[in-house]
Amino acid sequence: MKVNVMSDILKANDLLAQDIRTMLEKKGIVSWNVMGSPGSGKTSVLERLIPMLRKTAEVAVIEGDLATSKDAERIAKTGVQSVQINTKGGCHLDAAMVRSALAKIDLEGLKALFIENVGNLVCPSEFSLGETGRIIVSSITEGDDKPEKYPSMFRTGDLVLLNKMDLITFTNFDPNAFKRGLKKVNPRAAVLPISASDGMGFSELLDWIAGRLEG
Amino acid sequence: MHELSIAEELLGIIVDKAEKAGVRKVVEVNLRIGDYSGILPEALEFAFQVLSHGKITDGAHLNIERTKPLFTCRSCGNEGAQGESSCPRCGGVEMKLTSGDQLEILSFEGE
Repeated sequence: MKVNVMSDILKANDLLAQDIRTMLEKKGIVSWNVMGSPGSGKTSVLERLIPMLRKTAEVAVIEGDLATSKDAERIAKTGVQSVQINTKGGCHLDAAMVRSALAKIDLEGLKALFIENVGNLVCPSEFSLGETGRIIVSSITEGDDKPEKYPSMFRTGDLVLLNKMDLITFTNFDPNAFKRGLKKVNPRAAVLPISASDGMGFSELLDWIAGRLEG
Repeated sequence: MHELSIAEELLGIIVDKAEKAGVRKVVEVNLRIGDYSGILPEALEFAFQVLSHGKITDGAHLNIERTKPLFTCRSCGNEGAQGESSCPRCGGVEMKLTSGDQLEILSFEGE
């Protein structure tokens, strides 16, 4: 007997993500799925951005990692709600994990939610978490060829942060080559050169995020 | 890299549909997987076999239809380009992936 199915295998995740998106939209919460390689500076970017952003808006963070609660503890020091998800070896977050984490967050009055994904340039791009948009943190020490080498990731970003710009004189990184490669796979993405260690570019980043808050 | 979780989703879909259709043993599963889906068919087959142990899909064969990446040029609308980073017709560099990232179950055969 033949049984016709014709379904996207990730349909269950997509449906759950859509529920999350609708729920967050109703509450006026803008959510960002923050992705990038391990060590690209995702947590460091949030550590510097959040104290700036929370002067005007309530913020919460969901941290995804294979193990440990180190990142959630770092974020908690900024004074905002932070919840750690441990994927126990899993290479990405999915919508079900985000839903469980959201149950531990007081969403009342919240304006922005950052979901820091597992450090990985491949798998997280395929799993919608119900986010409003995606921010990719790419550090210059990773090389300027990454958008073309990892198109599935870079294709999905709304904003690409070029982090660790303070180290540029020690590398052969070519920002124009990076931007050319990014434009090939994702012409609509915005690019901001930043440094999470010295704060370069963070007023522009704050403007970008604040300009997308609701109300 | 995450073929195991994809295989879990796949198994869940099959078991659900099989119960509704009264199927007690699944023999073949027909999938469509794009070259740009990020999924390795061999790894998916392996994960599926491991997870199927003792279930209605035990020993089922996966037939995988591959799809090639297909890009549409944002400048001239040319849809013929496969795996190109620039449009062969107008030279435009803004190519949008319109096919090739599929990860779909089409049907399965059961008894």
